[in-house]
Amino acid sequence: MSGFSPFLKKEFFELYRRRRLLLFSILFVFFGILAPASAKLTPALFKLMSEDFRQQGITIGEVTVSAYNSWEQFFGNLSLQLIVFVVVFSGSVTNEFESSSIVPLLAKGLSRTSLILSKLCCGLCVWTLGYWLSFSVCLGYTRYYWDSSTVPGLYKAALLWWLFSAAVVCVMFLFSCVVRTSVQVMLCTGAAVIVPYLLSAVKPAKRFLPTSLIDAMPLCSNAKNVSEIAPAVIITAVTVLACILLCPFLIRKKSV
Amino acid sequence: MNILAEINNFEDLKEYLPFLIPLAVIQLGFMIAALVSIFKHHKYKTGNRVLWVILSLCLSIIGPVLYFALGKTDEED
Amino acid sequence: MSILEVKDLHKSFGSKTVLDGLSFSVSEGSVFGFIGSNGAGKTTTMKIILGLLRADSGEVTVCGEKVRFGCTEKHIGYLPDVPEFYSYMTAKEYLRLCGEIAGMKQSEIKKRTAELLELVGLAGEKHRIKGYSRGMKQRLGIAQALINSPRLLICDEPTSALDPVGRKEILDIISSARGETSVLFSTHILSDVERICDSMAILNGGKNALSGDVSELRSRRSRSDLLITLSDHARLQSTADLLGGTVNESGVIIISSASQETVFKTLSAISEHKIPVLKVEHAEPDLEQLFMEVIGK
Repeated sequence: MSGFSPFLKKEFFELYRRRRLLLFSILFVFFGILAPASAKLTPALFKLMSEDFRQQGITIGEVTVSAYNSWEQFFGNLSLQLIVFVVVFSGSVTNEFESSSIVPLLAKGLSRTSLILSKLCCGLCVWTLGYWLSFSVCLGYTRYYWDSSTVPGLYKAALLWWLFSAAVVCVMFLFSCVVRTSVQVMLCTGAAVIVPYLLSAVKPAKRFLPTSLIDAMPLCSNAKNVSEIAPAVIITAVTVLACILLCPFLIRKKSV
Repeated sequence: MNILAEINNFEDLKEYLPFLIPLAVIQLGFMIAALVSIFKHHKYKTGNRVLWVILSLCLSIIGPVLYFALGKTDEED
Repeated sequence: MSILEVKDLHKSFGSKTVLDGLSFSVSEGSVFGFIGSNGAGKTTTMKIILGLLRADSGEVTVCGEKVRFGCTEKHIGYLPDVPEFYSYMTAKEYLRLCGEIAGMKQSEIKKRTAELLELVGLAGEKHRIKGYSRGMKQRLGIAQALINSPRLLICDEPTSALDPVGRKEILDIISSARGETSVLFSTHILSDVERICDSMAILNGGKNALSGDVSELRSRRSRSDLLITLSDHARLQSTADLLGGTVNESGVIIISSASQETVFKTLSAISEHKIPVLKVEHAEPDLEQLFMEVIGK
């Protein structure tokens, strides 16, 4: 594990110097505000469109929104944030090898285990902080506008969504150790999410698939219990651990 | 933004201001910053000028963020 | 005592054999020139020495310790052929990162950084690496390689991408590092080797085709030619026959592979027959000739 902390420091320094930290904080805050904003504007939007609908003979009653709608928007937008994160971080490992900027450091005695674990650690930290930043902003706004009685299961839903996203980040770093370019990392990570998503069309498989963790609204409203998807939770957690343990072995095979 | 047309009384607007202001500032700020940077540079890490201008204008927030992360070069011109 | 020992190294990429039983050694305190044409396997050899690449078979020892794949010997400093650094850092920040990864103390890093930036002429440079020219990157590369005072400095073609001024600067810096470290440097520019190396090896066909002391190699192969230019071209052919030489297209008599003895004999023949000469030249063999001979071209 030689060189872990200097390299971790370098990772954060890089994010700071290249303004990635600033970029991500603004992005996460933006999405935190966007969710309650969309919910708040929904009635006005419907009112606007009701004219058109009335001409077609459809009448819409008064639309009421609550904290539930705000969080529905929030969890809906989260996947977009995760995609942006994966796109930006997909080159984190591969670019170092492609441009050979890692060679002088490896020659200085940086172990490959430290290299991948500090990258993984940095990526997870940034995502986790950003995720909860976005969550807190949304929470603040939603509390300001509505009472939270409609979302009793909010925290456990948010926690499970975070677990899923952490698994995606870990899987991304796992692929970073195996393939050559950042585009390949993106494609592989995308496939790793889409395949279980498609499989979840099969009802009995659903409770085992990590993608059922991001079906947040039934959990928020307590319509679904965590115990129903317990196998999926365990599988996701195991995925995270397996990736962390496998990465150091896979990156040894990478050629410089 | 025809939604603004619907906000016809001041009370409503006051309700919306806490989120409208930050959203507008971030969105416009990002878009302008991205466009300025795009036109200042001649070379990009990936893509070309037309692509980044279109993305920055059409994909609000995501377009500019992607430009800063993937398009903007670290090299000096 | 030798600081680096390479024994019977084999490496192939797919069906292409790059190294086929390469052996050589670098003795402590010397500057060793590692010569080969492009694609001869110089970079591959260096990466194996650094533990960045796995050899198919063979053994590498640095300072008496065996090199294993995946962990670099801490006594080595490495300058890659086209060094790539983090463009968002300054030279100072980069050297600090290198020092920290090498496990040096902060005070030591500060001291070494100041010394080395002075040595490579980047001391006044406040800009980030993204604005650096190729020569500046190469100089920073030497500084990072030397940061932890390695006992062996490995440079991969440090001069091949540079203009004559840049080349001279780099060679001067490498020569000045000679006191504190041994140097192994690869090149295909033979005049660089003549300029700073003590000993050398020529890599050809994945093997060590020729190695030894530079001056010794040069004198051992003293099959140098004796060139005689006459002031009177009328008797050219008859004089050539008399001296036992041939006439080349520019009217110069060449006595090939002339030993010292032949030179004396020829000179006395010239004075005896009162041959009017303009110039008599005994050319010293250069490495270029030697290299061509060795690789069989």
